[in-house]
Amino acid sequence: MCCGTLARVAGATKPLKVDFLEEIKLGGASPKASLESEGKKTSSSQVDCDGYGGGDHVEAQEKEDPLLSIFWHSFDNPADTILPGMRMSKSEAETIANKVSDFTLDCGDYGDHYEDESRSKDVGDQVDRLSNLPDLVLAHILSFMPIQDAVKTMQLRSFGSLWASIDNLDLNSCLSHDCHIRVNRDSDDFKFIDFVHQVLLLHQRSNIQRLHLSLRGLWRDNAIQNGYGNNHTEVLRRGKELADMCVHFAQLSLVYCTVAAPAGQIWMKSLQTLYLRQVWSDDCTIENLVSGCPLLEKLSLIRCYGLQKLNLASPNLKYLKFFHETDPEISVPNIKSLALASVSNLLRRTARNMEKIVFSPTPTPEYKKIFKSLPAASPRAVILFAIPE
Amino acid sequence: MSITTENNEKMITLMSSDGEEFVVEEAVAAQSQTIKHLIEDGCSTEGSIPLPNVTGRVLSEVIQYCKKHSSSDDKEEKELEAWDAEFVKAADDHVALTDLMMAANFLDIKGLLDLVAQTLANMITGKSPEEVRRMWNIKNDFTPEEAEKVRKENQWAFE
Repeated sequence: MCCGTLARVAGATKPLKVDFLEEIKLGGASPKASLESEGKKTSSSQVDCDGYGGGDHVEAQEKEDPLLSIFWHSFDNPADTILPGMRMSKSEAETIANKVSDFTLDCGDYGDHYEDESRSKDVGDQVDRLSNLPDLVLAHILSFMPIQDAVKTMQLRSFGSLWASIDNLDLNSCLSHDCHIRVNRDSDDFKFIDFVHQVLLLHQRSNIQRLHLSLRGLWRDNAIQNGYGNNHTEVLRRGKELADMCVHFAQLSLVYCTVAAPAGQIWMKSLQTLYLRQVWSDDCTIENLVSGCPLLEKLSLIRCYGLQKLNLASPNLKYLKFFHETDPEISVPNIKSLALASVSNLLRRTARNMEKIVFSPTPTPEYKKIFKSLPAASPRAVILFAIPE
Repeated sequence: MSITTENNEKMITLMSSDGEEFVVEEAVAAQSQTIKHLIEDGCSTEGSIPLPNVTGRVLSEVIQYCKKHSSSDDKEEKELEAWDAEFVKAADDHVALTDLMMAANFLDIKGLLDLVAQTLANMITGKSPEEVRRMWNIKNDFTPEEAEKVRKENQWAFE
């Protein structure tokens, strides 16, 4: 700014030359305090403002209205506005000083701040930095929070409904109850189910990168007998809705829940990995699910109940992990790699085509017999090791 | 301006919004997708690359992060994690973190963006809206009546 602009804030009892400063901090815990220290007058009489031409302008009027707490405002470059609490580096201060020909500040009670090189929190806090972040950035922050906490930010205006656009949904029942308490937990569990419903209903769904749904601990033996099972089924009664959300997923894991037959064909065109553990379902639903995932390569069925005769004819399905006490009849024509807990009918039928077989835990010696009966070339690798699940 | 050091590393100059210049190896600066694209478009050949949204103070911290992350390989993952933790701890005030967040967003440095987002998320998690407002000096937010309305309409979220 070339024009002669004079800015005096709160008199000039302790004028400061800008070029000696490392850092200027305006405001502080209470910016008004320094302005009023000259005798409780309103700032209009304290600020000597002589801005012509370019219209540089010093305002330090009475509180309440946040717009009036602007210290200095450049009409030529609105982005140069100084707000209370704003920190300036030496070069920034010089830039401002160049624009304002006569720039004096009363440091008043804040003199010591000028020497204070360390950041002082109360000064920084004067500006609401969080709400000033763009929506995309705020949503990114939310995606790192547990979903239960993320939805609660709707109580803050700047967050609003941003939670509904986060790309990482982790719906884990263990966050809503204490897993060690086994009694009287039903009300918590029902609340969680309601919560999942609402999240699935209200989420924008277009951009989900990852969904993890775990209803672990919600299903106990007696609960099924007492008819609670129906309520759990309801979680995925919206199966079609859920599948619609999953259209762009590469991975999906469902733990401890019922997967019931949805009304229409499920179509998850991007899904490559499907992990089902302790899932209650039936042959037809699983077949439907797998046939709706043309890119599916890896399928894990860990302790899945209700299966008897399963035909998994997905063209790309190369890897199957199957652990269960019972031995349903499973046919997987294109499979290349198997992970099993025991020697099963599945192995007897498919071992010939395998590139790799992994046992976990180590099976009974029966497997030796099976491999002796096979042509030498296949399978190419058999790995025996014992890890839980 | 592109200069080459004795190690044959191409150097480029970055200029912050307040006119501070930083000379860094191209590999370090290219961790920022934004700068990488600018280099690809030939912006580094004539003078320094101006970064109008990033102040010198913030830029020096960003460069510190990029240097560390370009010199470490996967083997040092644990050490790098510890370094990251120290890095955000050193920047542990709201102003510095939000400034870093904005810079990481503008410069498009995914690792840094995620690191700071996680830190900020941890600061908000488990806090009541009042605590968050106080902590961040959020003014002109919902009135108690408005807040009550939000809670009533979304009871499922607050049980």
